[in-house]
Amino acid sequence: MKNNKKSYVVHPLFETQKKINPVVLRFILSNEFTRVDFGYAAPWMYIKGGWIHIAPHAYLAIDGSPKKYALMHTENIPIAPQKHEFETTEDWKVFSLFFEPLPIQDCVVNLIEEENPSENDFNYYALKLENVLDVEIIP
Amino acid sequence: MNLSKSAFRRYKVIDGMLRNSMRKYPTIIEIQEACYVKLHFRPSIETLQKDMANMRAPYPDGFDAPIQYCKINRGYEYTDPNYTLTGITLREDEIDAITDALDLIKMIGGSRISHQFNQTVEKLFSFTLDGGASLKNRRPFVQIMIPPVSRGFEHFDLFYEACKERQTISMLHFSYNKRTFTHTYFHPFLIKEFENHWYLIGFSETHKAIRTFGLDRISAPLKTKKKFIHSELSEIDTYLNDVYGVFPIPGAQKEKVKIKASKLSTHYFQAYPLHESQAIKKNPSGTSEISFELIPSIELAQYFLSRGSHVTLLSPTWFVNFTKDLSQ
Repeated sequence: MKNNKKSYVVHPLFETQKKINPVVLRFILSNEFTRVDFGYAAPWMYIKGGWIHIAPHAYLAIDGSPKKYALMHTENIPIAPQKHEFETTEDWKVFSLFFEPLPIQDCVVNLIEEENPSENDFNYYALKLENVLDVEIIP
Repeated sequence: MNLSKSAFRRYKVIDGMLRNSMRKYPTIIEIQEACYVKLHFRPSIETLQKDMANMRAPYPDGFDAPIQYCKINRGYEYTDPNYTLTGITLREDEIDAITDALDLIKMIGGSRISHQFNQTVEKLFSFTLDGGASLKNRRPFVQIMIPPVSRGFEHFDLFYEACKERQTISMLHFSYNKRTFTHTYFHPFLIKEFENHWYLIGFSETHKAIRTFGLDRISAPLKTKKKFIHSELSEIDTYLNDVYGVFPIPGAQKEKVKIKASKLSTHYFQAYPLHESQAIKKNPSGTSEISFELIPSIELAQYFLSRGSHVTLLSPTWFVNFTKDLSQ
């Protein structure tokens, strides 16, 4: 298969980035998985910074397509019902979600944690992945 | 090559016996006796025969040792008289000198140098060690402060390789002050340690300028094939030579920085110069005016502030004001 072992870094572009915590920082596209890297700074409104986790049914979808790319595993963030409890409002975390592989091509992606989200859910819309073959990762 | 330390120590004894020109053609019994004297245990004849077979085996499984049994002289020999197990012949005092130097490197190394480097040092130690000497029994005669491993240091090897091979890094950065994250493509040229903190310096595509990032704030770095942007050699030299610390004040140029030092501080500046450009003009009372040719940096301002009333910053005026603001 072409590009079988290659993987690429993509810096996503946002039409309007409403949700900035956690912030989507980077996509890594390969034929084995699609990894999305996030940064999260514990917010001041919770006494000890609150907690985070990700729903096991989170998925990626290409805008306009019904196909769902399921969450496979995570790094540095627990899958619900487990939680990561912060200790202070100064804490921060970089974490990664690994999904089934998106096709390695330019596309617009939605990341959905909940179909009917509250403001606390990690839903992101219209993440533009452009020039996806430009930056290849050195294995 | 999968080789135990004890086997290698036997090889060293065998090698020493076969290279001893004063007593050529040692027998297997004599080798066994030499092992007992040097290693304080007596390996079996079978073990020693197996050792010699292993030494004969071609590299990388063995050492290509040209060992043969001489039927006329009834003992073993190297058919190539110039052969040595380690490729170089070292005298006892040379081995001592290397061992002392490695001791020092190991002391400086510890957590600060990469894992691979430490492994190499270990390997060198095992090659230079003779007979019963054991590193574990060596007590250091020099001690420097070795801080515990810090966050981000686990990426040291990746950063080192990227600097060396001129590879662009994709990395995530968290700013403690702004509490914001960024993804940037970074073109590193230097890893710098300052006051036990480690920094990566290079060209940041996000900032379109040379930037310094603490290793502790960098996450998930990846080496990429993105075209590397080379920084100007003069800029690199600036970072290497003209900055005290790691964060030069943006827009600052190299210039003369003058301070007034108390009697006590003058002693310390004399004993521990801050920078190679330091020039001291002493007053009869023991106080002094000290000048440096430097790019003013945040660390320089902090250093002067930390000396309290013992140091007064005189010029340049803008840096005097900057330092005052920093203290408030």
